[in-house]
Amino acid sequence: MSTALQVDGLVKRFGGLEATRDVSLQIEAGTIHALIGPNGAGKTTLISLLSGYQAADAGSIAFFGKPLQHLTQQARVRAGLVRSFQITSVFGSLSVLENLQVSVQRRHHRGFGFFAAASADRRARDEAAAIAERVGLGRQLGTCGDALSHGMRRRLDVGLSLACAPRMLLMDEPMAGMGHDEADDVVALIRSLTPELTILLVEHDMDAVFALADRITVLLLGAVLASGTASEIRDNPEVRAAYLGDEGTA
Amino acid sequence: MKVLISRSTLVWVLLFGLLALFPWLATVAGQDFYIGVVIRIMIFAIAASSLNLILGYGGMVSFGHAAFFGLGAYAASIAVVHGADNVWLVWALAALVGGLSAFAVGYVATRTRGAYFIMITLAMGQLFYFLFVGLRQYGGDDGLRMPARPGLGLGLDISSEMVFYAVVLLWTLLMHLMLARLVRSRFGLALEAVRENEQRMGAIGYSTRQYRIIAFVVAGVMAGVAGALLAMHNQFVSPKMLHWSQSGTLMIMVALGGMGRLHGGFLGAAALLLLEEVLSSYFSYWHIYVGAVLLLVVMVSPDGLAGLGRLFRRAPAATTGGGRNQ
Amino acid sequence: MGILLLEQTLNGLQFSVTLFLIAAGLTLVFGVMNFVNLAHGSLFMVGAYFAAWFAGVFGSFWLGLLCALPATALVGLVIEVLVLRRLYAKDHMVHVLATFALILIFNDLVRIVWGPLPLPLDLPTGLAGAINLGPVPYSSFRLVIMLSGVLVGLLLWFLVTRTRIGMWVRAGANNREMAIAMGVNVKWLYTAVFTFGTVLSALAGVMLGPFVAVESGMGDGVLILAFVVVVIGGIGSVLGAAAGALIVGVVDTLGRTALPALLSALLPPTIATSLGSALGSMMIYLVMVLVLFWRPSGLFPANT
Repeated sequence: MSTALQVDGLVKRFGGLEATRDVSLQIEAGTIHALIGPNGAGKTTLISLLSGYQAADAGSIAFFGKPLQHLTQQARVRAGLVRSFQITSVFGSLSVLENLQVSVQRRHHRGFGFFAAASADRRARDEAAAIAERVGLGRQLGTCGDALSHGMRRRLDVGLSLACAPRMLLMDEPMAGMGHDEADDVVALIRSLTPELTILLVEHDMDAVFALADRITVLLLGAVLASGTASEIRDNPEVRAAYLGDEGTA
Repeated sequence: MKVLISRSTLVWVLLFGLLALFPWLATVAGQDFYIGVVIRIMIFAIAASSLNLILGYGGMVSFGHAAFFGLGAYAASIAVVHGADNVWLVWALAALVGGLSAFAVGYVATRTRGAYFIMITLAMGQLFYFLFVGLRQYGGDDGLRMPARPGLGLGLDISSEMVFYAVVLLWTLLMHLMLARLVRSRFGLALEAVRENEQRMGAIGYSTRQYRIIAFVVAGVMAGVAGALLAMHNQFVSPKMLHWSQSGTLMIMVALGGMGRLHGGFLGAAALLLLEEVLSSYFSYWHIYVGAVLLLVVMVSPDGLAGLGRLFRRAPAATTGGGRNQ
Repeated sequence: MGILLLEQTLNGLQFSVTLFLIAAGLTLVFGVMNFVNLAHGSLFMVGAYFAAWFAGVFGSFWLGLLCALPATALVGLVIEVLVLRRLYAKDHMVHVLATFALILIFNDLVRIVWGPLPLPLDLPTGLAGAINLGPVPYSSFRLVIMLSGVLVGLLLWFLVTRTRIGMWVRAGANNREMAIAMGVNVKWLYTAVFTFGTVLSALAGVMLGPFVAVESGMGDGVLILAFVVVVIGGIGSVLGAAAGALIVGVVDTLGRTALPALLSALLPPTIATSLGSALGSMMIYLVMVLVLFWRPSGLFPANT
């Protein structure tokens, strides 16, 4: 089994504050790796560094063996590393189909496409519709982003990332704001994405984490506290003291 | 059942047909003064539509758009003053000047966001304004006369009001079709997505700045040609055409007509210019009424004007046929 | 030449003070309410009009000033409560359109009320003369303007950094929810900030009134320069407004006066004056573009 993501000694400073301190982790291809820790632990910063939204001050990132830390966000997306956001981020006034089409069409075409009508782009529309189906929005193709429920919008968000044909997803708190049933749907969706995709999952919802994660890394104050399988982490006394407390409810 | 021509297309075909017949109708009714009014409306419709591309579709609040309009007008006038007698060449020059200056402004401005973006576009617009105020040899503050309209060739006399009307009408039609093509294209879809959520577009791999700059350049070309047409219509151009208050006027047109709606520029220009025409014949102080109307429109709209536009652009619940109103 | 330069530099400083008074209110409204207020220049104009009118009625500049400030404050209060309050939450485009509409309305309103001709506003008799600053006689009134500007600046600094109100203003700027949680009545805080800015702008209008024509549209030019000041200095920062005003005032004045003089040494006089004047006017916008290239958020941006 190959290593999808190899992170070594990643550092990020904001002025005097070290948001990311010498973080190293290794994620095997086709697995789900969860990243947990209290608020302010630096989880979202780490996601930003991995996706290329922000540049690290030190350390290296290798994606399927290819060094990544000097590539722009756009280049990383093209290499297959895609992130989704903590606050659901879709294109509100566009329909579900158009949302996904925007993401798909970038892969299909080289140029900007000034003349051909977007509605005539059969290939892109078909693939967009297929992705909508995949994330359970097959019946909402014409609904615009703003009109979707929270859970549906989250699934559209996942769909947008899938439309980039990624090899690995960086998911920032996909369970945030979910009701019980919606959360179950999203958990099922995420599980269905592997083993074709590799997933790094930042989450507070411990039920989801223990249901999904093959391995877990715990962050505290920007540094790695512990890393291991779900049961190892659950039984780790340091982790329980710092974060999980009594039987881990976030 | 497949519909051959949509209802809105039919409406607009009829409208253009009416516009085509208008000069003859006006002459017969003895109201040829209004031919000039309608020419002005059409020229501003092009200019406002070009701003609509940046503002409505692109979501960029550019407060210096009048600069490209004025630059096109000056390019045309200066060319004619120096002996240019070929209108095709003059139009090409105006388009080039508009496009290049828009590239310069767009390149600099897209480095900033929000209020800073507004200010930088305004400042760069003012730079161009003061440039022409200072150019004494081209009239400076007094403006520049265009001695004669450059020749059209094709055996037609462009100094004739009827011929000029037809020329402007054809340009309006061409620009409108071009804009329609562009906003419905892949580029148009991507541009709107950038407006909706630039960060997300970056996260799915788009180089968003390129899209914004291209929108700027296209808008600059359109505005430049419109400027040349206005210079030819009045046979005069002055630095006031580049002043930020003129940019504000163009913005009002886009806001009134509907931001991000295909016909927003056209409707807005017609609405504002007709409003001015009517008001100024009754009141000596008519700006106050224009301001009041604008304020009313702004206040009444539930989610700002974009919200008003959105209400008409799509029904919030599910509709088949996708989101964007064509 | 040296005397001319000194005089123009002093004029530049005086202009800086005027700009600071206008920009301070603008930047606070910008920073605290995130509101783009194009009507700020109109309030400057209304202040000048009230002063000219009251001064004419009472025959005294000072009484004119004293009445103009509360009168303009009232006008500002009315438009804030009736119109602007509903727009704070909307995006900048809406602010721009609404306040642009107000500019149109006010520009005609003053002409309807006071007629199309400019109103005279005479210098106060006590300060109509000049004081000798070394070899240079300089208008006493202009010196008073500069002094008052410095005083206002100090007052503002004191208010914003040392008082409870100032703390609320800074809290409101940074985090609206937190300010509400702290028990601050945010709605009235916003009104207070706006009205305070209005008074400053009116003061600038009154003080500049004797030197320029008090007429419709007089606020439009200064408005743009005030925005340049705010952007160069950093949105939301009074210190930034002071720094920006200093830069803009001096560069603009020297640019428009010294540059033509400089160019006439090199070029034929007619070209030199118009080109110099144009370049001088362009100068400040070039400076702004350069500053934003180097510091995209201005020189001293307020923390957000």
